[in-house]
Amino acid sequence: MELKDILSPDNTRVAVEESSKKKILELISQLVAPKLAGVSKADIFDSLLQRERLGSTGIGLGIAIPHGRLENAGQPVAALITLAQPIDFDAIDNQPVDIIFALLVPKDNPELHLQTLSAVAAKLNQKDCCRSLRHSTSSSELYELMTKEDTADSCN
Amino acid sequence: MEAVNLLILIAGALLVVSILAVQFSVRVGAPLLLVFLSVGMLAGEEGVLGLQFDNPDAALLIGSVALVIILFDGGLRTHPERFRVALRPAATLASVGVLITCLVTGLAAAWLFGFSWIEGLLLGAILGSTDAAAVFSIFQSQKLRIKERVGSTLEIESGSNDPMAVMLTVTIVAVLAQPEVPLDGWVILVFLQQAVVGALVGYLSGKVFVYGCKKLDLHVSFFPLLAVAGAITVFGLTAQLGGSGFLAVYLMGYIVGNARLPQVIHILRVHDGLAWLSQIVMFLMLGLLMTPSSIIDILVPALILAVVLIFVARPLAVFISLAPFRFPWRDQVFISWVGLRGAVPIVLALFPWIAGLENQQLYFEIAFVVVLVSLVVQGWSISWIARKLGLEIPAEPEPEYRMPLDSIHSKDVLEIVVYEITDDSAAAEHHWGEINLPRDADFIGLIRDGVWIRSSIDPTLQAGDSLMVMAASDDVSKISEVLASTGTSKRINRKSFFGDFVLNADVTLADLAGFYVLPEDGGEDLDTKINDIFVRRFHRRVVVGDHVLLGNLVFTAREIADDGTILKVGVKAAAS
Repeated sequence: MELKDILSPDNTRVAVEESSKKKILELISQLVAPKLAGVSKADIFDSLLQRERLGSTGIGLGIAIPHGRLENAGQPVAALITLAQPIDFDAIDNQPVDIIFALLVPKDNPELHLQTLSAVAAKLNQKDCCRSLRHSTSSSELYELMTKEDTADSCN
Repeated sequence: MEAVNLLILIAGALLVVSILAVQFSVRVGAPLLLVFLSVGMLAGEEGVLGLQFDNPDAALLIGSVALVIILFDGGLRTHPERFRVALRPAATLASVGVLITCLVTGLAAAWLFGFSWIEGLLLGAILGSTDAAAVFSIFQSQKLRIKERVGSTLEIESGSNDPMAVMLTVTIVAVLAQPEVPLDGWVILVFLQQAVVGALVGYLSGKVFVYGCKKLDLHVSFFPLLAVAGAITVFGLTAQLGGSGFLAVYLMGYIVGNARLPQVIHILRVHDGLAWLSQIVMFLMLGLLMTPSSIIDILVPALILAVVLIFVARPLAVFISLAPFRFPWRDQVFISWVGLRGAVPIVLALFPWIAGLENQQLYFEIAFVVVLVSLVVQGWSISWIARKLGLEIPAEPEPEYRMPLDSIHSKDVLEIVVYEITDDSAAAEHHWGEINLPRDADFIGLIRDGVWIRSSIDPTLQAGDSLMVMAASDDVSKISEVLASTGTSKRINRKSFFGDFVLNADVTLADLAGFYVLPEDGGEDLDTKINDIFVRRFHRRVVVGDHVLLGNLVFTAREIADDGTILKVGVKAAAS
């Protein structure tokens, strides 16, 4: 699955000013809900919050990948947010987070779910990639950077 | 005068060559001790220098003193936390295990060399102990970290089986030296006397030394020397009282090393060097003592004996000793393979030589060949085997360099620690003030391109910087979790090993099922916690790096509390 199939420009936000993990999860729910017929904002928020209770999805180096599985979702949907000010996310390395990639998937096809998560994590584990994401100034630039095919420049 | 000067020149040159050879050994991955032994042989009778040395008494004297220092150092570095996971298995290996090794090897030796069975057992006892320094220097030089269960077991085993092998050897030499005395219960008495007296004197002298350190007002430099002097005295005293001096010295070291004394850091630092010096001197000397041409006659049977020891006796001893503890099979295979023989057998082989027993030199030559084979075959392959068996775990995050400020009197010992900043460091591209640390620490500047950049400038930390921090010693490991590089680029790193995501180990399968797909026929109750699954699979204490497979997911223990409960597990997809 390619990222451009699940991420859309209107699901990306740059330099968001939010002060808490909860607010961010709410924002994600709000962004994603319109893409998923039959799923409410509250369902998405609950799923994300439940997942955080099992252990933070902050994977270190300022990155978090919150995710959830939804009963009624028809297809996987993602959202990408960068923050103006890093916020506390209980990440593995104890450091605040400023890049957040959220993924919501249907109940079926769990294999794909895991593959997508690790593909995203692998991409965000590249320092150059994060650097350009942090520097991008518009949602569309952010979208371009994240969905660009793996090439030699920036987000490879 | 001339002769003395020449002797000093040769001794100095041999030491220099041996120490320089360390560099070479690290590069080709050869076991260090093998290198020292080879330097000794090269300098010896049939080598380039042609040095004559065949005085077993002098060799025993030097060898014993060196062993005392090495065992004392081993005791100093044995920590009770290590005992948590490994005390009983290691103790069984060091007692029952040594006996089994001694029996199997002994009977094989009797048959191979046409010895009487007691003579065979003597050789078995001589070859009974394993060498920790030989093993751990290899791990250190290759920056290899292995699972705690295996590492601790090997470490405690090899520290404590030396006294066992010594006691067995002394007892059997005593039996052989007095053939007119009938063989009966007194053998066991002699053996017990050595163990009990050794343990008692060792324990008491450890306590006395600790008490003395608190009362004596000496300059710090004298305490390490006092420790050496004390250890040698205790060795001699215990032997006079009919106990095992080696056991006493090991125990004394253990008690001193774990006393909360300000002098301990100093003693440890000096003894690290002394222990290495002892290893080098001992192996050089044993190499010199050996006349390579004399082993040709016994080469084939000695090689067969080495094969029996490595492939039959040791595995048998390990599997039988560890049976009650239900170690995972990979752990057992590795422990079997790491029955490395070091200097102890060669020194022990001098005992019958000095006691003037029949076949005196033969024991020495056979022991020499077996140790050599063990060092080459096992020593060289240890890292490879550890990796193949999946026992390697990512290195503990730690500073590049640490300098305890132990001569400054403060409540907690303070340290200056240095971290290399890389692209994978959480601190990279941040100011010091933006970093969240779990414990207090002060930023005292950084070194960039060799230039000191002071903390008051508040620089942005970059890859390549050496970050200098001051913190309390007890907090360094917590601080390192944030400041040390996660090493995404290393051969084995935390991300690839544990997986990107971390779960609390007290979540239940029901919680997990909401997000991951679990096998439907797993037979596990949905209320089961991840921690319980580990406990059930491993039967005993879980260590970092243990993993269980559930369906398509691998859960790897990542953080474990002092009482053995798992706190956090990493989760990743199983490699398909």
